[in-house]
Amino acid sequence: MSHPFPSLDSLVPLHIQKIQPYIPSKPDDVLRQMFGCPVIYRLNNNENALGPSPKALEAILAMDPVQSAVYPSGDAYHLRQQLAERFRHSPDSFIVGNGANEVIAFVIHAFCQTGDNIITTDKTFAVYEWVAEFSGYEARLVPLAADYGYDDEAMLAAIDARTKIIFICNPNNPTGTYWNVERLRRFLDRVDGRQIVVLDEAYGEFVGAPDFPNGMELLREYPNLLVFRTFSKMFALAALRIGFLAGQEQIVDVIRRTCVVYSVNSLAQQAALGSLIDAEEHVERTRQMVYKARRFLEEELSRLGLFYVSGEGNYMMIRLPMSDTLAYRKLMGQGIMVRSMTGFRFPNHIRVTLGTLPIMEKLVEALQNILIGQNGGASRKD
Amino acid sequence: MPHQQNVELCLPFQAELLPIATGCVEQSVQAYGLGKAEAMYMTLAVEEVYSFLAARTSADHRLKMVCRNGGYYAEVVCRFPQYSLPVGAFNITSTVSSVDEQSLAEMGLLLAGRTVDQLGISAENNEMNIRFVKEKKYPRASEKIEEFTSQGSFHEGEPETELLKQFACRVASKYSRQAPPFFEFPGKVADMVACGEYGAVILVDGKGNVGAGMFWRWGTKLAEASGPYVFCDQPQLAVDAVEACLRKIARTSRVCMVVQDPTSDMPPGYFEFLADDGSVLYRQLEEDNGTTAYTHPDFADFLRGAYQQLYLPREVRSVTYQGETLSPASAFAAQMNRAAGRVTLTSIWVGQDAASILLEHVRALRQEGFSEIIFQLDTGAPDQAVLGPALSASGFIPQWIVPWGGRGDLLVLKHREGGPK
Repeated sequence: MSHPFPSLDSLVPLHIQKIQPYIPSKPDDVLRQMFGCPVIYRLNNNENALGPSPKALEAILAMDPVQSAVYPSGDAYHLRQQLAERFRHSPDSFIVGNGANEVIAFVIHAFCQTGDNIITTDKTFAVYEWVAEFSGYEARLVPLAADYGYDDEAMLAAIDARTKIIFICNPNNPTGTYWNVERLRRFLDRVDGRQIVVLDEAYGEFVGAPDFPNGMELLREYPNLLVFRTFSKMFALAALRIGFLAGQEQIVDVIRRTCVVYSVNSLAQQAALGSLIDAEEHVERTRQMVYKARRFLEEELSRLGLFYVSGEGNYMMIRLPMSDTLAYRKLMGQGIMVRSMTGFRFPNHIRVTLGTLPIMEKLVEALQNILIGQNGGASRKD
Repeated sequence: MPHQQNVELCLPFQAELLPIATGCVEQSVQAYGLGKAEAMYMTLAVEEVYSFLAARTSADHRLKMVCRNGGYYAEVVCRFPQYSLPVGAFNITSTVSSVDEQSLAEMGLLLAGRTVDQLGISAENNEMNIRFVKEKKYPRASEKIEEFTSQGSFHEGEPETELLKQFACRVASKYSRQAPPFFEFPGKVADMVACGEYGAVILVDGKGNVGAGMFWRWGTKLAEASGPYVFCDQPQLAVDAVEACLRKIARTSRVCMVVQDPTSDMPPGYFEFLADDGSVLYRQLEEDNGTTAYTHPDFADFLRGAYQQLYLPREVRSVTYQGETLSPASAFAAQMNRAAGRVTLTSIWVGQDAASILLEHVRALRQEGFSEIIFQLDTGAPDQAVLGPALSASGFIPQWIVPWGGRGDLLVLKHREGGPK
């Protein structure tokens, strides 16, 4: 006997009905087959081409497979101890999550209720906006300023009595712009503790500029400030999914109430601990690689007559004279995977990860190929 | 607001309860803004379906009916247990023989299909859904607005009622027959956006003059746009309108966007050609990482060629009819644009009589004066692939594909003039 199908109209909240699930890209073996290319160079997710640091690799290899039967530390106890020592905060100032995406959800769920809103910009990492919306809260999107940076005045103007959280991606993904310490302080002073300000420093370790703010230090002065960091980008542990947030203990205690414990596996915790041991050398080596790739690519793109947006972080944004999604498909045919930027509200732009020079050379070659005889200039045939 | 006005009714199929069903429809759709005549047509449609089912189904089966205010239209959805409803009766070519008792019984269903503006039939979860839509009447735009000159700057205005009405008037004035006919009815355009089924980008100057815009229908995966419409002599406005439109559609669930009959203001570099004559432009909004396209072998080579031209990763899988049981009757939906002389057919139900029903459609539509007959075949629906031979035999030729236009890509076929009728 077949049972009646549940009425999804009445069971599913309206804000969920409006949302389509996010479909991640297919695995490399499937993509290679689909696009008919023998190899794929992933320049789409801002991964670190150098891979994990030697100490992180050691830690991964040292993991006893038999320990897979045992639950991980539910709150990443040892990792929080090490983070506390490194950043001179208490271990209870940290929450470790299954990637930074998870801690974004923790924070939004801890502070927002029906009718509340969050503020971010329209052209930035999409997860702040997505989590807010699928949780039923309004995401107020303040347009980026003409210099591709966050518009502090416009963000302040967007605040109302129901604004709970302001998200600042510093440096911004995908534009690479950042607020320096002076500008960030001025902003925090004007917010004056009325809202939670999240400083997402997912790409902070890539920035060497002396005026780049250190969120971990600012936490001491601004109790409404939270800092996000990830081990996915600079530390190249993306496959293990591990990131963390830091804030003053009282605030973090509130967020901990919404946390899913045991969500970070043992291997990720071990690898992250390893990363902290040789972090300085690894960061320096990676910055060197990114610097060289950026200089090379800037020169080559200028030669090709392509406009680009190049700031901080291990990525650059390039404007193409064709649809970015067409460029994605054409580049995939040559084994180069980039991020199309329509979804970031930058039509006809792609974002590429800055990696080793041989791969950057392949990217330039592939770009040259797609610019020749393109079928991207459709307007209207009269 | 319209969503909160849904009226739901659940009642058994018993002839004496018919006035409850019809009364509910009549009152609801009038409350939603349909005129008396339109409300009567809608009531008639439901009356025919209910009467037909009440005469043939067990009295303990129930009809679930939802009346909905769609903003610029009213909609009634009838749900009932899946059962052998003669869906073929809804075909526009259905004819009734006065000597055939079965045909006479189905005449009511035929009438039901013809009294409404749109009819949809689908089946899921062991339930059959019949959807009737009747549009509200709106006054035609009376004023004609000229283009203007402006040195000022334009910004993106909120698509509020008055701006939308001005936009519609300007489109109708400048682009007239090039633009979809609904622009002749500014109030309707405002309601189309307000109900959430359509979207618009409007660029406006400091004095409130609309300088440019784009308009689109939000499909499930596909946004179908028209424009760009430019009313002022600033060349950058077309680019700004297209980019603003793309920014609005990005980060929604839409995978791609199609522009049918783009205006001459369309800037280069944003879209790809689907049709060779440039009448259909296309742009993917997300990265396409491939899917499977089901097709009859007749169309496999065409599809492979089209996918190669568009750099689309697809696995083309051939499907043929191998004697499996099909429903006796086929049903096709026909969406007509009489002003353009164009009709678009889609498959609602694939049955044994598909070939003959298709031929009847072509004959009837040609007789009614339609010069362009299009068939959209969904390559994401394996059951539709078996229509291949029927389409070829009826004179339909593949023209282009619309990636992600249905469950999968849509293969668009056109009926060849002089082909079988």
